[in-house]
Amino acid sequence: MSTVIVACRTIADEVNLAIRAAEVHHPVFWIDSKLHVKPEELKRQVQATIDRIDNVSTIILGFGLCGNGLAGIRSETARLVLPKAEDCISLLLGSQEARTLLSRDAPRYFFTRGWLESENNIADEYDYCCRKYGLERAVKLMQVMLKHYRYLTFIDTGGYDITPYTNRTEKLAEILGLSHQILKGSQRFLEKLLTGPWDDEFFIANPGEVTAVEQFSGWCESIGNPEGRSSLLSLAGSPSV
Amino acid sequence: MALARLDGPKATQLVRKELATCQDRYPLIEAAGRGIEMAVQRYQRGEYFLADLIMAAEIFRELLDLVLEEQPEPKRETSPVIIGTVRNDIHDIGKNIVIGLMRCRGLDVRDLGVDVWPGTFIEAVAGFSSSVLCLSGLITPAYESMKQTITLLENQGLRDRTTVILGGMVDKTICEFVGADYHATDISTGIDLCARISRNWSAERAESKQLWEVI
Repeated sequence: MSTVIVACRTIADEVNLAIRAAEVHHPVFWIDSKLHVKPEELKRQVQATIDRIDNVSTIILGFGLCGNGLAGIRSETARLVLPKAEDCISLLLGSQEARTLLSRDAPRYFFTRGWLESENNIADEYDYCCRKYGLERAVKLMQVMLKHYRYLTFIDTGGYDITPYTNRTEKLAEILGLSHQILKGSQRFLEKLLTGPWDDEFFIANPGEVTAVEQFSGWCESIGNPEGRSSLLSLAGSPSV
Repeated sequence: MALARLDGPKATQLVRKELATCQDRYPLIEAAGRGIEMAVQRYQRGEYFLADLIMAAEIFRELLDLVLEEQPEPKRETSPVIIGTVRNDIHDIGKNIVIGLMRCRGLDVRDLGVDVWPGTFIEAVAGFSSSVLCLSGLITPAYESMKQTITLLENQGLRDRTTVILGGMVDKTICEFVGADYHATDISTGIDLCARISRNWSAERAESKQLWEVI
C-alpha cells in the first residue's frame, strides 16, 4: 500500500517539516508556485502529475480548494486524500477553523518564506513599483491595492529563521501604514494530512471519482440571512469607481 | 494608447486637446474604456503587475472625471445593475474597473462595496427593482457567500426576475455550484451581457442564456 504526496512548492518548507515530524517516507511531487492565480492551469498541472503516477494506492494532495483549482481532478487507479481547506494558509495555521476565525477577526495579507520567495506577492510588487513609479507613487498604488487590509501577518511555521523575512515585511507594513504581526503557525493539519486519521477535516475521492467543490466546503460557516446593513439612501448617488 | 501604456500625463494631454475642439464627448469615454480594457488584457497576459493595473485604473478614473466634468454622464434608461464583492471577501480592484466601464456604457450601477452581506444585496435588488445582480469574489470563501446570496434571493421570491452574473475567480463549475446564471471572466463580454439584460431584460433573458458558453 504505497503513498505519494503531490503538493504546492510554495509550502515546501512546511511539508518537508511535517514529513520529518511524522516520520513518513512518501515521495513528493512538487507543483509549481504562482498557479493559485491561474486555477485552470493549477488544475491542469495537478491532473497531469496525478496521471503520471502509477502503482500507488493513495495520493495525498497538499492543497486546499485554491480558487477552484483542485475541484474536478481524479485518479483512475489511486484514492485521493485532500484537506477540507480554503487554501494553503489553512494548512499553515493548523486548521481551517483557525483560518476562519482569523478571517472573521480582520482582513490579513499572509506571508511565509515560501510566499516571499516563490509567489507573486506585495513585497515584490512594492519593489517593482518603487523602481517604475518612484517612492511616492509606489506607496499610493500599494495603499489602493491594500486599502481593505489591516494586517501584514507573517506565519512562523518553525522550520527556519524568520528574521530576514520579517525584517522585510515589517518595513513594508510600516511604509504602508498597516499593522505587522507574527503568528505562530501549526503543523497539526499538515501532519494529520500525512498520517491520518482522515476524519471530517478531510475527504477521500476513490479511484475514478472526481473531486467536487462541495467536498471542500464542509467547513463553511452559514452567513444566513443577516441583519440589513445596507444604506440604500447612500446608494442613490453616483456609484463609486 | 497612452492609458494602456500607463502614460497618465500624455493621456490627460490628449483628452484635454480633444475636449477643446470636439462637440461630442462620448467617443472620448469610449476611448478611455478601450484603454483600460487593453491594460486589463496586458495584466491577464502577465505583461503587467497588479500595481500597473491599479495605475491604469487611476488614470482611467482621472480621465473619466475630466470628461464628465465637462458633460454629464449619459442618460440612464436601464434597470440599475447591483454589484458588490460578496461577504467574506474584500477584493475590489477588478470590480471597480468593471464599474467604470459600465458607467462608460451608460449603465446605472449601484456599488455596494466589499464584504457585502446577502441581505444587503437582496435589499438593493428589491429597493431598486433591479434585474441584474453582479456578485464578485476572488477567494474560496466567496463561493459559499455567493451561494447563500442566491439562496436568499430565491427565498425572497426575487430569483425569477433577477439575472445573476458572477465575476472574479470563478468558472462554470462555481457558477453551477452557487446557482448563478452566468460567469464572466472576460471583461468586455461580461459588460456586453450586463448591458443587454439591463436595457431590456425581459425580452433578452431567454435568448441570452445561449451566451453561456462564450462568457
